Amino acid sequence: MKMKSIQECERRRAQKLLNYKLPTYWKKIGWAGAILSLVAIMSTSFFDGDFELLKDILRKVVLAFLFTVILAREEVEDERVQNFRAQSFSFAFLAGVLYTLLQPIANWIVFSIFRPERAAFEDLGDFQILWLMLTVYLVFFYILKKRG
Amino acid sequence: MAHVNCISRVLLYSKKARIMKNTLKVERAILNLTQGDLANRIGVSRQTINSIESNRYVPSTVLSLKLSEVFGKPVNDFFTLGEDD
Repeated sequence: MKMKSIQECERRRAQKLLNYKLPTYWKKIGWAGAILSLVAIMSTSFFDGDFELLKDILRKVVLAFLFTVILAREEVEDERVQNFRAQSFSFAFLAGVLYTLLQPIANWIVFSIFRPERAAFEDLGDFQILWLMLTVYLVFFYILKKRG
Repeated sequence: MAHVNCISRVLLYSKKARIMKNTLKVERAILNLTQGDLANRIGVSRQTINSIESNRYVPSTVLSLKLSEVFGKPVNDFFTLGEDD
């Protein structure tokens, strides 16, 4: 009996965590922050100097803002929207795994053909993978919401 | 735009969505309710009602029971399985 109540408590806690959403206005904040950070990253190429550290920080900031867009509640967060969220998450996960597995091979093949001296298996950075997963999620979610 | 159409068609028009039929529109008309009114009553968006009516979305048991409460009829009266099943 005690074991059952502990399991129930854990299940409820996990559900609460999974269902957690930021207020709707965070979506606007997230988009604005992500766009501004992207503009800042691109604008560094117009100035002389070493901006690598700043770029690294801004990349993390872009990811954080996109994540807040994903976590923000829709105006009416009903079961259909939750269904779309689940579908978009699974597509993003699949895209992330496939990209991580196939992109180094594709790179190696392309470099082997055109620049053999640079052909090597290189792992992808965390930014590339997370950027892809977040954008795939957002694209699928908005397509589903618009067409569904 | 064609690829977007294609993706959404693959995602939305699953077999599950096609085999369910419903008479939600008729039931709504009997009670003289708009999609928005019905949506407000059961706590979903208007788009959700629209998707259910056009067989693009199959609602959960909870939502079906809420609809049944609004229409005052059993779920079987307005949701039926299609011939494919």
